[in-house]
Amino acid sequence: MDRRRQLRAHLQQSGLAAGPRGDPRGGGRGHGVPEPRRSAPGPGSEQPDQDPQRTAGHVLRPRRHHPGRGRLPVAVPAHPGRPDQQPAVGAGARRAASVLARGSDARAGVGDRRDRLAEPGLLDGDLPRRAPVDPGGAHRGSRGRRCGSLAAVRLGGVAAARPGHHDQPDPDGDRGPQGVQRGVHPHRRGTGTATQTLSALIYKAAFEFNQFGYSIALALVLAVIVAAVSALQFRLSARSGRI
Amino acid sequence: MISRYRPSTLVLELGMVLGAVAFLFPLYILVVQSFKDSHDRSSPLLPSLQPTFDNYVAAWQEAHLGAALVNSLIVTAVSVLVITMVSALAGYALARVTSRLSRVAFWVLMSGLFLPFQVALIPLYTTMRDLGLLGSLWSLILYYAGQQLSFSIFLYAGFLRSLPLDFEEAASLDGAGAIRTFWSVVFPLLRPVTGTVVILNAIAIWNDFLTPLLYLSGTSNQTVTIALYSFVGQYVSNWPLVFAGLVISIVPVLLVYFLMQRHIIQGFAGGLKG
Repeated sequence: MDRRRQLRAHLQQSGLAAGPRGDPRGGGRGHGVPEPRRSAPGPGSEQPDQDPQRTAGHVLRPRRHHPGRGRLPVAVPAHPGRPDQQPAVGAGARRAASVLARGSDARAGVGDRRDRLAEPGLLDGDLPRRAPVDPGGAHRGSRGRRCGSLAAVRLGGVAAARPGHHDQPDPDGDRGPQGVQRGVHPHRRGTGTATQTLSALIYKAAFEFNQFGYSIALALVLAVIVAAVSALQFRLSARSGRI
Repeated sequence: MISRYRPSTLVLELGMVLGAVAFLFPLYILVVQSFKDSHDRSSPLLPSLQPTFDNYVAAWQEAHLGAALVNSLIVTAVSVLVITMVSALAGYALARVTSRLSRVAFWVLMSGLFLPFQVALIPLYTTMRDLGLLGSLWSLILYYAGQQLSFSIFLYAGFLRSLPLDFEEAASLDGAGAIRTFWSVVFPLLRPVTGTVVILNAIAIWNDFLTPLLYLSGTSNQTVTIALYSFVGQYVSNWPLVFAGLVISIVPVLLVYFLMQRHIIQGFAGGLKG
């Protein structure tokens, strides 16, 4: 309970607080805890996206597991579907998604949809153990400290890592709060999606983007491919008399 | 015929030595790095001049490796036990019953061999979530028992088809029923293939990373692979602790191997003949 109060006070100080039950700003659980992703309206819903908890298509939610490893709210991508259609993904799935996001596939230049991807550490609610390189100091907050993670820049205005100047709405749709272009990470290199396998895409679609239906469709395509190859192998083996 | 040492023999030996070096080199790096301090900037190929056991102590304490080892042991042992029992019984029935239904059932079970596990990944996850088994070791046991069953039944059925019926007919003449015949006569004959099934499944379950990450992450129930992963960060990874934890995690596997080395080799030699 004390931890919840601390979190609530922290969120209210940073302008991200969710009000009590019935407050139109949120607070669905009545303890000032931001509404979980499951009940947050998606971008396609009728409600305007003015909830301070949801900025640039993201929802801030407190971490519930790993006590002591991080006490800040977690920025997770909001599900585009209706609230009642959104699957509830547990901590294990979020953790697994963060693992997969550490691969080369989650690196820069992987498309607009990837821009909505929270940094793995943020997705799991962890602050990086060491601040990323920022030689120009462009990512520093108003107090001269770092803004937690470059993921906050990638998210484009989401005050995900630390409250501060990121609370301001993003005036430029294509750029982050400090003018850093979204999705293009200056320190990230890799092969992008060029080396991504279908099985990895299936996993990421399900547990990173919460697109379970799309992921199952991909899995069925993979199953059809494997079944076709198996049938061909059976036919060739039968023709040669080995079966 | 007296075998002679020929130049081709020397080439074969050199090839085997090179293969052994290729396999042992990562193990050497693993052990060497596990004794180095995290601030040691010497070459990773060279052993440390000041070896330390602090990494092992820290890895054991920080990653809760003791509890993780127990969890891995429970999951592996129970899963292998379930797989062995169920697949041996199923393989016996499918090998001995020659009806059309038995053949259909066999091929239905074998379909699990060529279906990619990604097809079942999401439905199984949602099923476990709805059953309230996420975070429980039972979710892993159920998953492994189902996943490995097809391959194990395939091995048992193939081996049983090569066994003559004489023993079972003799037991039947002595008045044994089907269950008694299986446990007292057939199952002891299945020792080679049982060894193969146990080894293959135990290694696969012990080393699995994705499924425990999905089902157990964020809870206190963690297997060894997930516990070791806690040392790998987004920006900084404490590799000496990781290597020390890896050395600790392979100790039980090595112990089991050295204790059962003879049975394991016999199992591989005889269990795959079918």
